Amino acid sequence: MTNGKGGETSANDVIAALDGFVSLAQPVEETAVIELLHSAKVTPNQLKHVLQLCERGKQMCLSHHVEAGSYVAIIEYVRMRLGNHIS
Amino acid sequence: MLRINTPELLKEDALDGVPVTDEDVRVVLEMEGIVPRAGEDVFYAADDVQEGEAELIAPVRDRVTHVLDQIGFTVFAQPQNASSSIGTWKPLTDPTMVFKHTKGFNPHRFDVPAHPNLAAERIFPLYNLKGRHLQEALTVAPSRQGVLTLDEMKYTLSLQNRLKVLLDALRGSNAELFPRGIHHSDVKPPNIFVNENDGGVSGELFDFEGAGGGGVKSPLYSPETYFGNHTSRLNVGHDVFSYGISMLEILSSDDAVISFHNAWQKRRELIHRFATDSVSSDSTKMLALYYNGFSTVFRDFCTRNAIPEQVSVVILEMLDPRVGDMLNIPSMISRIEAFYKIPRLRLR
Repeated sequence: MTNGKGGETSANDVIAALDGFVSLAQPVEETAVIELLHSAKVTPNQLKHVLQLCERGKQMCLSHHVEAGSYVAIIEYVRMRLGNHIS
Repeated sequence: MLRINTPELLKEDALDGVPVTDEDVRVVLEMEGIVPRAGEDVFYAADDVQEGEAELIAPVRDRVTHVLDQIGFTVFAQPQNASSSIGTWKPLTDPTMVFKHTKGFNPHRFDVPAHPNLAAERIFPLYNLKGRHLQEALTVAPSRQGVLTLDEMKYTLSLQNRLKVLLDALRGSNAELFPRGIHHSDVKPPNIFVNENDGGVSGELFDFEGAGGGGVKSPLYSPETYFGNHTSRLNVGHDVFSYGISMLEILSSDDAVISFHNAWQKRRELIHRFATDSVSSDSTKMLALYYNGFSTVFRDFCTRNAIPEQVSVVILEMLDPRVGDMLNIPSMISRIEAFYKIPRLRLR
């Protein structure tokens, strides 16, 4: 197994799990995502990745007339952690 | 599961003059609700016998045992509630098998000593899946005493031969079990015999004690462990899924398959946590989310273990939880055989 972190959930696990929801234009349980992102060790690069993913999720949901609020909440959280350096 | 060959064969020389009437055969078949077509081989695969019913089937059991004795088989059965250790199994002729176990016995729990160390007696796989004729099988039966399983031979067989053994077993299942709607439900390398003959190898499935039954026998190979009830792979597809995982194991290692299983379980748990109320837990959307994640973990696994793409696409088909029992198994087998240049099994 490449993930040598035992039972801990890594940011990559979160990203990978999130990816499926984005590609299917499904809303996500944002509190679960944010909680995990908050407790996991996340590099700025991974945060950017999450941000890009959620931007795409938001667009996908909007174009499918699906509630996009959960992605907006995650985007806000990530922007806050990134210190608003990314526009 | 016991395979009884065509009634004609049972009546002929193999029985050494002991008459077996059509009635004997008819009773056995009737018990199973099987209506054989002319010239077709027949499986003996009864459902569990409930408490109090043991005596009802005892006369039938006696006749079947008698026939098998005459043709030189020793039929072993596992007493109900006994430990699964093969040492506790007893010949079916042992009177304690029926009468001291008030819950009766499971007629489908016929087996042979699977471990070569215990095979002091002449053994023969009663469920000879390859479709070999009984007569022919009998002539090679003595050589089965040293037979090992695919699991035991994983370090000594070449990759090509390991795959061939596995594909033979799958082909056997597809030819003889699936058309009857029977699934083995515990397909895995430890349950596949490796036959060595004429410098080649072939494989056949054994240990049918759980055939057709529900429940998870070997979690690592069971679709329910991977998808819970989010799979339509509960019948024949259940076995195909198990063959798929077995193939992954053959192409990598058992440790790698455990890692794959763990990685997916973790991903699956996250997907479950991320799902909102709008995705009801038994919806096709949920299954799509699971499949999406599963295929990602699967592709990562194949890349890490250098499994070629032509092969991994076939295995993913075998593992796809969205597909029911409508699988094109011959096509799957031939694509793998073509890639690894495995010679085709010569059927009868």
